[in-house]
Amino acid sequence: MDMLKEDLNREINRIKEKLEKSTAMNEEDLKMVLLSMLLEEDLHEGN
Amino acid sequence: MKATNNSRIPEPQVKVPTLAILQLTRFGDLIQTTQAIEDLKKSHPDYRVILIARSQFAKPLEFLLKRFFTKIYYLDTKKIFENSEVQGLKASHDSLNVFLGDLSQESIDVLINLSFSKSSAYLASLIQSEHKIGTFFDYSNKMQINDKWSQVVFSTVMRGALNPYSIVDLFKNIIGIRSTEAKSAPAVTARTNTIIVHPFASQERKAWRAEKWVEVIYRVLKENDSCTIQIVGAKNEVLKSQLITENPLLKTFGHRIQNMTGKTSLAELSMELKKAKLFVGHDSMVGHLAAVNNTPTLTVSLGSVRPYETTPYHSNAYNLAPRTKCFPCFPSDACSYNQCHHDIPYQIVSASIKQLLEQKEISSDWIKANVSSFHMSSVNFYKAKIVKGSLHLDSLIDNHQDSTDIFRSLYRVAWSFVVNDTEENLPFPKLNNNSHRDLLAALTGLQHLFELSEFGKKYSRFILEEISSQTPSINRIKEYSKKIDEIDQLQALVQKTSPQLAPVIDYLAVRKANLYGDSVVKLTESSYYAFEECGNLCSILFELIENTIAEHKLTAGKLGPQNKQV
Repeated sequence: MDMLKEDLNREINRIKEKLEKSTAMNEEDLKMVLLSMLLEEDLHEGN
Repeated sequence: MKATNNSRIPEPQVKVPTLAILQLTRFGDLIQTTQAIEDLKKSHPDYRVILIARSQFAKPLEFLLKRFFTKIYYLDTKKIFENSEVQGLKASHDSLNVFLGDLSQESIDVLINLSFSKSSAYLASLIQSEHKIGTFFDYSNKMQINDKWSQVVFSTVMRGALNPYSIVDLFKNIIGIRSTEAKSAPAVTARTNTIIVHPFASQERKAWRAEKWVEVIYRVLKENDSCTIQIVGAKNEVLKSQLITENPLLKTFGHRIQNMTGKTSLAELSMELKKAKLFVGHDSMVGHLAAVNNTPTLTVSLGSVRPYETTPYHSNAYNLAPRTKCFPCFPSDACSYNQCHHDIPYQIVSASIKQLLEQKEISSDWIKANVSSFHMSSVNFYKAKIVKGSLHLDSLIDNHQDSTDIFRSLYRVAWSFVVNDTEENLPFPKLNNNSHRDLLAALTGLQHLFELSEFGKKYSRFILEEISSQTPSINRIKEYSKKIDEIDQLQALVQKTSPQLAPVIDYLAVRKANLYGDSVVKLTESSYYAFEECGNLCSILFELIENTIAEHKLTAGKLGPQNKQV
């Protein structure tokens, strides 16, 4: 799970940088954000 | 000579519309979604209605969901993340792609997101559909809400206790179901003399401690010789259930208490509810499941529960709520004492259970005659009724309607008129000194809001006129836009002095954040209409408050000599 978290954090930081530069996201970026949200919700539910 | 055409002209194929309902939240929301879809299926039996839901909540409810949905797509996060420890992000990404690939085989006409969570909004943005209703994100990571009912939900349900609608009715409004028919009375079924009790809730602040339930159960079993009690709950509630069943006070009644906690599937629980005479518990999915089975329900609402939103959706529902000043709170509010838990005496619950077990109604007269006024002094007691296809809560206590209750009624009339273009006829609320004062204060706030909306319209119009002039001045357009920004800020300030107007102010903010159009002209037109709608809402609320105050004065004998005589 840690590996996934690390991968996702890296992706989210990349997307944040993109948005800061006013560059639009693409479908793949949306998927990364969705995965990160779902993982967060799953961990929350597990607690 | 005769020409015969033996080949039949094929009849044009009418495409069956496909609606996709996105509901990623928990059991209770899923059950309430089916209650909304039940009405949709009545008016449009030919529609293909598919459901996109999370496996962990939808699978246990499959027995119910299958009755209403043509197909169910399960978002299985366990599966999505199962190989991630070894393969990292790639495995999850591939798994998500498989799920989205399956969905892309559907030709979805309208995707309706009923979940209002961020994850559902991101998922909605990834699903191909002709039209989208509810929240979704655009490529600049901005949340979009284009339909008005979802905007109402976002500006009222998410932010306070002034929402007048049941969740099922909000779902129906978002989907666009306008059923006016009265719900047919359920067929009378033979039921066992069993009460199903679910004394737990998703959060501690929403449920009484075990001792209080012990008192209720003890009294009920003592006063009703032939009834039995089934305690139900999830596997993680077994220990809590034992605190009740193993209490020494209930020792003599052990043979009449069945502890089913953690032992039933939801399908089995649903069957038990169908046979039971009554369901009693806190706000949870069990109450909604009881409503689906037409089993009378008595809910004890505590903590952050809002009875107007969450009362089980059927006409056989009663709801007890405390009159505690801070009720209903927000889940994030700090609370160490849970005053609301103490404000509902267990005696009211046991007396009401006795009345309902005898299959009699609970009315204002019955309360006056059978419950001590001392016990009722800190309680609100509601009975649900379904009028013109929507749920209303009638207060069974005559003299208590606080300002929030009154504003909720006024908002119900105003939203129906402005958003649905329909009229709701509700009786005039009864005012006391405090609510009278609050209504008068709101008149001033509404006046300010109305004037600001008029200014908003004026400056939106100036921008349009400037653009359409022969020599448009960018500076002037900027100046007018700045004025509109100032108006937005001033409207937000009104909320500080008139907190009861928050839904109007928030609604305008949500509308303004979702202006439509791809040019300055279209966006400005959209802004004009948003201000106009805000102005209309203010006018309607102003008129309703004026009439309410006039009625109050009339009944209080303050108007006209003939009333003084009475």
